Amino acid sequence: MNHEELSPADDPSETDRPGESDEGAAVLPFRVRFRKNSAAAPVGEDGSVYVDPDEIELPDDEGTDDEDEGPREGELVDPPPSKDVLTPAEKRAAKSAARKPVLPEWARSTDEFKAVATWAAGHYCMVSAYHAVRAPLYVGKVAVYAPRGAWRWSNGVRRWVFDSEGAPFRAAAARDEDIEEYLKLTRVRNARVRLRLIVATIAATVLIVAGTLLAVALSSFLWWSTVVAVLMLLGQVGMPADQRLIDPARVRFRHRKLSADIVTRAFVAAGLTRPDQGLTFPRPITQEGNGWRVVLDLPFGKTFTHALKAQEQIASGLDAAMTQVFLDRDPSSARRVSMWVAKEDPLAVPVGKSPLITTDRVDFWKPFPWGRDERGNEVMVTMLWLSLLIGAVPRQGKTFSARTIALAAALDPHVRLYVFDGKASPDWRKFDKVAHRIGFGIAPYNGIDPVKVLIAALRELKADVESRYQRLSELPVSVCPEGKLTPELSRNKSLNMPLTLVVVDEVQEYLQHPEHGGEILDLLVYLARVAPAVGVSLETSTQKPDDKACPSVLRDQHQARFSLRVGSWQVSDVVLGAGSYSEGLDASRLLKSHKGVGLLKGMSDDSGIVRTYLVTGEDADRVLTRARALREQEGTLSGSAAGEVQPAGEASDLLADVAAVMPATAAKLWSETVVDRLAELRPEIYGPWAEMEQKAKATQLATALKPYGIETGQVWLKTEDGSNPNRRGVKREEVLAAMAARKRSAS
Amino acid sequence: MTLLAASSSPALPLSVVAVLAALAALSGYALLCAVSPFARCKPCEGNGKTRKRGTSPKRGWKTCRRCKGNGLRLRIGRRLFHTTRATGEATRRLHKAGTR
Ligand SMILES: [Zn+2]
Repeated sequence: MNHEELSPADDPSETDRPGESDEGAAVLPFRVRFRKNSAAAPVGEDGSVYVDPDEIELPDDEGTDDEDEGPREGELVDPPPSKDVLTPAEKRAAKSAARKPVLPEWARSTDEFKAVATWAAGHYCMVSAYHAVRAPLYVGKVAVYAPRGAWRWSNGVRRWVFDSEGAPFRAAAARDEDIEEYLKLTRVRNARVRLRLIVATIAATVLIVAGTLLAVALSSFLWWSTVVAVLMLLGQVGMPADQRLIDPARVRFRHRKLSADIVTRAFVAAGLTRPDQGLTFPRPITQEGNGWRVVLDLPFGKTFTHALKAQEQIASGLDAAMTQVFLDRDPSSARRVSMWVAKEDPLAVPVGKSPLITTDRVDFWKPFPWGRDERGNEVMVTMLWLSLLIGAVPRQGKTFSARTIALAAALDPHVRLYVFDGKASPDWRKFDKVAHRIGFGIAPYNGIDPVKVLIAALRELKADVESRYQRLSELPVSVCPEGKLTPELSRNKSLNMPLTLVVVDEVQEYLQHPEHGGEILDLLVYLARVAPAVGVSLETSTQKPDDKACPSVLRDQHQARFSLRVGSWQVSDVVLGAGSYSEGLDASRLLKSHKGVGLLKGMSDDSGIVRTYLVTGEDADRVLTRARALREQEGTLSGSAAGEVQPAGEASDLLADVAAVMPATAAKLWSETVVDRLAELRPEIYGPWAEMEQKAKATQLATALKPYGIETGQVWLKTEDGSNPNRRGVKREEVLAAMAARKRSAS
Repeated sequence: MTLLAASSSPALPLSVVAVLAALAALSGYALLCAVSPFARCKPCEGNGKTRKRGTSPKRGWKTCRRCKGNGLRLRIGRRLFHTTRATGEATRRLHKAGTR
C-alpha cells in the first residue's frame, strides 16, 4: 500500500468525515464505532479504498517499512484462522492419530487379555461363592418380607383400581366448594373405576386360570421355581428401601465403566472446575492394566499441583479409595493431568516372590528388580553411587525390603557386604554366609561386642574409602578414564576395590548407643557422604526417623529414600526429605495392609510407589547358600564369612582375649606371659603393655581385669631355670567363670 | 334406685353404651363426609331452584341463592374438617416462619 496516495488529505472520500482537518494527519478522529464497518468494507461506495484513520501513518512517522508489526488497537487478538489451517497431510495424520483401535487395548495384548480374563474368572467365582454361603439368609429374608410385599402390592392394585391419584383433586374441589369441578372429577373417576374394575377382574381370572394350568402342566421343579421367583419378587417389593434381598458381593464400585461424565463430576466436586466449564479430554479413556487411564486438561489456570492437592476429593468424586487414584504429571502442559484409576486397591495385592530367588547371579553394576509399581510394572533399582535410607513403622516390611537389596548384592560375588542389624532379629542371621563383616544387636555375645565390631568395620571402611580416592586418582587414565570406579576395576582382585554394600538395619539402635553412638554417627555420615562415589554404598533403615534417633545430618546424606507406611505426613517428609508432601508423596496415606509397599524417591528421576518383592526367610537362606557357593567358586569369600576373626574396635574385649591366649592345657598363667601373648594377638592394642617392666605388666593386667571380678593372685609355675616360680598370674577357670557370668547377665 | 338397677343389669353401663353409640355415629358421619362431601342443599331440596313466595307453581321459580343452582352444599362436618386443617396448617407455617 502506498500511504502517500491514501493519506486523508488526498482522499476525497475522507473529506466528509467529521473532525477531519484539511491539512490532515494531525488530528485523529475517534471512530471506534465505525471500525467494524471499515474492516468489513474496505472499498468505499465510490470505488476508492477506504482507510481506517487509525491505520494511517502520521506524517512525522519516518518509518518506510509498510508492515507495521507492533500490536495495534482494534486488531484481533487471535491470529487469523487461516494461519492455523493444517496441510492436507497434517490433517490426515491428525485424523489417523485420533482413530480408535478396532479392538480395545486389553483384547489385543495377550498379557492384558490374560489379566482381564483371570480377573473376570476370579471375580465371578468369588461372587458365586459369596451368594452360595448366604443362601439361608436370603430364604429368611424372603419369609419375612414376602407377606409385606404382597400387602404392598395388593394395596397398589387397589389404589390403581379405585383411582387414588385423583383423590387429592377431588378433595381440593370439595375444599374450595367448587361443586362443578367436583362433579366433573367424580364422573371421571366413576368411569375410570368401572373400566379398571373390569380389567382387574379379567387379569385376576387369567392369573388364577394360568396358575392352575401351570400347576397341572409344569413339572414340579418348574412350578416351584416359579413360586420361588414370585416369592422373591414379593420379597423384593416388601424390602425396606435401603436393603436389598441379595447383598451385592461387595460394595458396588459404581463406575464399572469410567466415563468422562463421572470424571468431570469428580473434578467439579473437587472444586477443580465448574459445571459450565467442564474438562477437556484430549484422549479417550482407555483401560490400562487393572484400571483406567484418563488424560484430561484442567481449565486454564488450574495446575497439576491443584489436582494433586485435591486427590482425596477426586477419589471421593470417583467413588474410589484414595489409594486407587494415581495422578501423574504430563510434561506436555501444566494443566494436563494423566490419571490412573485402579479397579481395586492395587497396593493391597501381594506382588509375589522376588525373581532373585531363582536368579543364579546378579550384576550389581546393573539395575536389578526390586518390586513392582502400582500398575504392575517392574521397578529396577541400582545402589550404584548412592546411599539409601529406609524408614517405616515396625512390622511394615522394612527389613524385608532392605534385605532384598542386600540379597541382590550377595548374588554378585564381587560385592563385599557389611551387614549390621541393631535389633538382632533373625532376618539377617544367614548373611554370615557371605558377609565380610557382620554384627547383630548391641549386646556383647560370645565375647564379641557387635558395637565395637561395627566401629572397627566403619573405621576400616573409612580408611578403605580414603585409600580408594587416593588410588583411583593415581591410576593411569587408560585404566581409569574418569577417575571413577569401573566394573573392570572393581572386579580386579589385586586392586581390592570391589563394590561394597554396607547395610545397617535399625540404625537408631547403634546411634543411640550411650558410649559409641557419636562416633558411629560421624563414621556413617562420612560414609554416606563420600563413600558412594568410590563404590561403597550405604543402606540404612530405621523405624524412628526422628532427629534424636536418626539425626538429620545423617538422613540428609542419603540421596535415595524409601518410606513404607509411617504415622503422619510429617514423618513421611522426614524420611523422604522435606517438600515431598507437597510433591504428592505422603507415605502416611499407605495402609497397614500395604505390606512392603513404599514410596521411593531419589533412586531415579521419577519417584513413586514400589511394592517390593517378597523374599521369605527360607528363600533368603537358599539365596545366600547359592551366593556363598558362587563366592567360593570365584574366590571372593572374605572376612567373617571366610572364617576370619573380625577385628573389634579399640576398647576390645579383654576377657575374650585373655581366654583366647590361655589354651585349655594351661590352667593358669603368669600375668606377664598373658600380657606378652595378648600383645602378640593384638599388637595395636596390647603392644604398649608388653613394653612395660615385668611388675608393671602384672599391675596393668590386674587393673584391667578388676572390673570383670578377676583377682590376679600368686600362681606357682615350674620354670626352666627355677627362678622365683611364684608370681602373680591368672587362673583360666576364673576367666571362663567371668565370661559365663557376663553372658548370663547379658541375656 | 330403679335406674341404677336397670343400668347395672346389661353388660355395659348405660353411659358407656351412650358414648359408644355417639362415637359410632360420629365416625359414620365422618366417613360420610369423606366419601361424599356434598349433601343436598336444604332450601331447594337439591333442585337448585326455589319458588317465589306467593306465586303460582308454574312460573315463580328462581335459582337457589344458597347453592347457586347446583343443588348441593358442603356437609358441615367436611367444612369443619377443612377449616380445622387450614388453621392447623396456617399455625404450623407461622410457627415455622417464627423459628426461622
Ligand atoms: Zn339450593
